[in-house]
Amino acid sequence: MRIQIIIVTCCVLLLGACGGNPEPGVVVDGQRLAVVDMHLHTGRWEWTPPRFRERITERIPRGFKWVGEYLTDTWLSGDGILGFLDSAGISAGGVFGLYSPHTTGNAPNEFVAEQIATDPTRLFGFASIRVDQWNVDSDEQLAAFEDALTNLEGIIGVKLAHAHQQFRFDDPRYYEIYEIAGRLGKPIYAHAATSPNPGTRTEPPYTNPYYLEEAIRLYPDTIFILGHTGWDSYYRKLTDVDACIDLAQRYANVYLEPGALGAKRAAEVLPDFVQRIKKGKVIDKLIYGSDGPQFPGYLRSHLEAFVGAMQDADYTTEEIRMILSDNFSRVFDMPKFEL
Amino acid sequence: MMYSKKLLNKAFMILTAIGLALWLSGCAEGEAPTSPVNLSGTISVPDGVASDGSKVTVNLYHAWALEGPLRHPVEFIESFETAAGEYSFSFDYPIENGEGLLVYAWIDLDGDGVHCTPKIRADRAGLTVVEDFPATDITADVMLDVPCAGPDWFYPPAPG
Repeated sequence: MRIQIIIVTCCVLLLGACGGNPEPGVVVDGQRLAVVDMHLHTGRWEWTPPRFRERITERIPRGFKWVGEYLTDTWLSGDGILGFLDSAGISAGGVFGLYSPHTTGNAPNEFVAEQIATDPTRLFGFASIRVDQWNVDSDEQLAAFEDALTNLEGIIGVKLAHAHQQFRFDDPRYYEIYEIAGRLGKPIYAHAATSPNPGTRTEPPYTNPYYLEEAIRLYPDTIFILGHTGWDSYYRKLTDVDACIDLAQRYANVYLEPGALGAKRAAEVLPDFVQRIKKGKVIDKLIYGSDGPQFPGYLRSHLEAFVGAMQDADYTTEEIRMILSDNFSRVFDMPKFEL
Repeated sequence: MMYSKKLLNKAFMILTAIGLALWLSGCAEGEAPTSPVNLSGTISVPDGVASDGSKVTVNLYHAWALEGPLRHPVEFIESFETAAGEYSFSFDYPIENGEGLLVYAWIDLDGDGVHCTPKIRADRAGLTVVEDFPATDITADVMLDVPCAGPDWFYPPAPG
């Protein structure tokens, strides 16, 4: 065991010695722009289902998978996330709660609040709600959800992932969630896409945003941010991207987020994606996010890929600034981020 | 006793190789234990609903899985397709992945391949909890009478 601890310590020291943090922001056309990454995950190994543990330790060589627990708990802590933001030059981030025992596990709202308290000026929380026994305890869960949105410090929005949480977009039994979020002024980030994670639903009622349109229409005071903008990472296609863009064009309360579209898995479709956003005239609706931290270097590589794709598609500096931070500030009613 | 340096090196290499092999073999995954199940029954729709030739998708779920804060209902096992009427299906029940058995099904009445669209709400679903489980031979009849409902609509049921 002592040898194992020494190996982990050496690895961490080596990683830490890989270089200092870059200057904050990204340089576009000679201007340095602030970046907010609205899509970051927290959690702990103990709340991670066995099947997902296997997936997140896929990259670790056989025989060394025991480090998964240490790395998960370290990287997904408030300090860990801040370290990743610093190493990517990102000013601030949204940190997601989630109750997804079928797939990626739980990140309870109270735990999220503890992590963002590490630096409330840079970390902003998104609370979630447990839905897997809705016929039995929906009243209790809705009360806890409203309490979290009202009383937990630093909670600025809601995180839902219908495909992970196994409930249909069009099931009216869950509409009270949207009502509460709208009434309390907390925008909802709703995962609107498939996922490569095991156990996640891939059928249209759980992934296609048109199934959410009734709720979008019924709750005009509720902001819906369509997570991943329909990027079908399971089949590696832009399956529901145009549907998301269409909804963002037609509804004032619909926004988009491109999490994981800057990842290597999406490299072939990213140029097409940014072209569709530009052609659809929804640049003012796209709020940058990465779906990190994932692994060291991910936040930076995702950001560089995404900014590079926007530059290749002739986005103006002002358009890139909107996507990287200004749209976030506007939707979440915050001052603009300056460097 | 004196040993040659060559002999010591050889012994060290052999021991290292054995140790590494043992270490790695300890991480190898074995086959998950399963139990054979022969499932049969009748899938029906309400009177007046025309189901001739319509595809029925049947999903099998554990009633419950995992423990503590991760404990949850409706854990997917596997899926098959059939038609309304009598059906039978044999599968290997993964013993360690959860408990109990739920038989959920939906019928594609309009033949569009999806379980309802936002505008066409004709497809019906139903779920049966297999009460006498575990067992090898099981009968589960399923009535498909709720439009556009996922398995969470039915299970776990509301108290009372």
